[in-house]
Amino acid sequence: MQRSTPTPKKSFGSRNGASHSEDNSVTSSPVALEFRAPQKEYSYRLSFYSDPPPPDAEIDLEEFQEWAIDRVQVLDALDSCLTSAPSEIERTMRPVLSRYLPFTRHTNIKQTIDKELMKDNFSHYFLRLSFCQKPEDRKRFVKLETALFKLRYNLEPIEARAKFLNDLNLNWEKATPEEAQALEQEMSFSKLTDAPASSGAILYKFPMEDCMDLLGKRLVIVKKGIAYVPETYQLNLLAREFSRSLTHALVQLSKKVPEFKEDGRLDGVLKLANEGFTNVEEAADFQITANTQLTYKSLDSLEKENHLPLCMSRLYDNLKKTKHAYYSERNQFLRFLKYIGMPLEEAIKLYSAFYMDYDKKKDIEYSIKHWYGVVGSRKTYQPETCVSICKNSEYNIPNRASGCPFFNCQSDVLERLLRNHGIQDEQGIQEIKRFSDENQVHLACSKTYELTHPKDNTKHESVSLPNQYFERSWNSAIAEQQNHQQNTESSQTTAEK
Amino acid sequence: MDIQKYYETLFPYRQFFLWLNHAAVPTRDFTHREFAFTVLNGQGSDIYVRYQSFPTIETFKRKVAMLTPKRFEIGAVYTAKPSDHKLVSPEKYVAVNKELVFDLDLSDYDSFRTCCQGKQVCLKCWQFVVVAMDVLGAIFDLDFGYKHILWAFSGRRGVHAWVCDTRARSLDDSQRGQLLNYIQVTQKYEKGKLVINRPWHPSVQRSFDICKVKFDQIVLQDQNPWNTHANSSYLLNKLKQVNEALYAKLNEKWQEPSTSREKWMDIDQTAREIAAEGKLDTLGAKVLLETKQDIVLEFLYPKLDTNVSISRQHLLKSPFCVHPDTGNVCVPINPLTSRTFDPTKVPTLATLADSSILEPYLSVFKQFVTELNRSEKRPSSSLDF
Repeated sequence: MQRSTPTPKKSFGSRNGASHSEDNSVTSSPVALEFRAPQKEYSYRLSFYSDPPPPDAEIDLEEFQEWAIDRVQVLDALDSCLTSAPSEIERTMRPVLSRYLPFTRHTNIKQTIDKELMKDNFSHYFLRLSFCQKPEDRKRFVKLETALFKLRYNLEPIEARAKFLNDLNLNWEKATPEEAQALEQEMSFSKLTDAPASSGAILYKFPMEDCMDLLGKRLVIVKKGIAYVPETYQLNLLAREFSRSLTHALVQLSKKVPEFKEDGRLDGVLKLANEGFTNVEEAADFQITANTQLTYKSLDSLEKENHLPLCMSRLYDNLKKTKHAYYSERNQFLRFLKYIGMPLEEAIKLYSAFYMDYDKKKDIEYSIKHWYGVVGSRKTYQPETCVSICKNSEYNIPNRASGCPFFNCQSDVLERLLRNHGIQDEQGIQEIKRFSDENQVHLACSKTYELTHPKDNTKHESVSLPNQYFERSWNSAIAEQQNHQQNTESSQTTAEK
Repeated sequence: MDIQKYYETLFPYRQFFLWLNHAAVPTRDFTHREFAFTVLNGQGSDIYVRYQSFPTIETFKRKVAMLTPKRFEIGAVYTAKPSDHKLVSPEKYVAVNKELVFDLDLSDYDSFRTCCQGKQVCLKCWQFVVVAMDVLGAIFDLDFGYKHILWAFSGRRGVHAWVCDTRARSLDDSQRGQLLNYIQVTQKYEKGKLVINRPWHPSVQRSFDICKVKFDQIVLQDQNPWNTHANSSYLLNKLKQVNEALYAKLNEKWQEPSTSREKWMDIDQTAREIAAEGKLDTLGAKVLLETKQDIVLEFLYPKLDTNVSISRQHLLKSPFCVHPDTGNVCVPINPLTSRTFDPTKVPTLATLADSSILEPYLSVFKQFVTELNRSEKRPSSSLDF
């Protein structure tokens, strides 16, 4: 993003916004942000962001962009650790927060506090502009902002939380003492709730449809469609309110984006949603690796030359051996094959060559075409990342060849797979098994790569999607080949001399 | 009876319409509902015709008479008429409502049943379905408060559940996903071992209690999966993870022929013996108990095809269709008599010459539809959303 041109102070909402007409200039954006006057003081570090930046607030364009980018840094960092345990998230995020979105504690300097709160509020609103336009961006923004809210809530002292809650004025229905007592025994199922449940803690009552995330994790008791939510999960309920109101605000805002899109000064911020955020479950815009079109018969040599990651080689071997492939096994393999450059016809040939269940052949052909995006919804499926492969419970059903072997295999099975994969190094096998036990699948897979590619000296980050594994291996083979050619050529020239 | 005549004379169009429409005059619940037909083309292969919708049940009936489909499926209610889906922009063609459906198929039990495999079904393995219906029925009723659940035989080796309560119909996909997470207990494995948080959630406990009662009859006696030493590796592997001494002793003992029931009894007996020898502590005994509980759940807990339930766009074969391969009518199952339902004795095209055999099923359906519509308190301007 360019930060070069020094710009004069820009005034939000002031009418001297230079040559821009009022409607399409930045100056009108507070109106678009559901502007409500008069300005309220930012009294909490926690915020539902219900108050947009005030119309008379002044900010440098440069600062404006910097704040937006800083917030993206925070959200990006959060995105990459979202699946970790809460304590781990806190540990990772503390330094990130203090660098990009600090809240200085133990300070009485009002200016510092004001400035920090202002940065939080403004940057949030800036990003709303950028992330409100596409549904998938909205979803991602809401998810990450909600996670940020939860993180900060946990970092606040209890008194501050209580005050914040109290002032929010949420009318949550409480279970009567009789109801709570009746549920007491059943409540003991959860380690989180057993302490307060016995001492007559508060239970909130919600229609189960309103707390499906808690229901999905079986953290609440639900009776006849009513969920009884212990106070412990107050934060989940708050977070739910937070995402709901933010989603609503973003949808409203998206309808107004064209108005301020014409103001070129906002371009940088509006484009932010397209940058950053790397750790997504689909590898966006992954390009097909091998330029030569692969036939299904070439899979054998690809396997022999160690181009296939363990997960895919397991799927391939299983198909050959059992002459059958479960739905999950096919999905996983096909999304891989497409991006290593196997054409649709070859993928169909592959399954018709090996698949025994004749009866189902048509279904299978349809599903192959589906994954290649030529029938049905015609969606372009991107290759799957290791994260999504591990998270997909359908892939990880026992006795299936799908999923990540480092994630779902018992160690004796894994060892057998590794040996079949051509790994003999005992120490290496032990190391991989240890990684697998600790669920460090990326490291286990990288180690496997290392052991099967002794000639590849390039430094790599750990493997994060099967296609990347293939790409590395493929490129390294090409590089080696070229090297070899060069060497022969140069030796030829020497000979000629 | 041929299929054309069946659709002409026996298919219950009126009730079918009331079931999906929730009112006597056509509402969007019917007019904006997607149907799909599987028809045979001239060359003898199937064509799948999606995005069909109809202003009235009469037009639907005419289409069925014209196509004589092998089967048809029911999809969601959309914001625009499915037949117009190409005329409107994609964001104006969105699924809004759909019965919450469940699909249970005995082929997913293949590693747990010994009597049949693949497409086969008999009264013995049908008992897996019966238990699944009990477990799911309790969850639907006691936990979720759903009252209108239509169970239908899927025509060969499984069952469909159509939860028709308004609350269920308006769940979005992510809510359906969470609901399935709540229901699914036996889908999460780590290194081959089932992962369920303990102490159990009360709902899991209740489901387990339902399964446990049936375990002896269905698994140990009817299926008898561990009748030889070679067949017992599943069980032995689980025990090996609990305690080596227990494993070694049983592995030796089970070289001699014995039934699954005897083996199941042997476990506790042998555990007591090795505990007396000091080779099994209290923790080990607890793990053993949990392992046995897991086995009960692995065998009997409902195994669902989750995609069918989660995505509203997914279509599901209609009740009262005729299964193209078996000729079975996909009849509703009366929940009160589900335990005596016999999948090998349902009305088929061949037996329907005597049309009265369909009567009991038609009356189950009619009663269901009547109760459903009575509970729908729709405002009189129900033509609009």
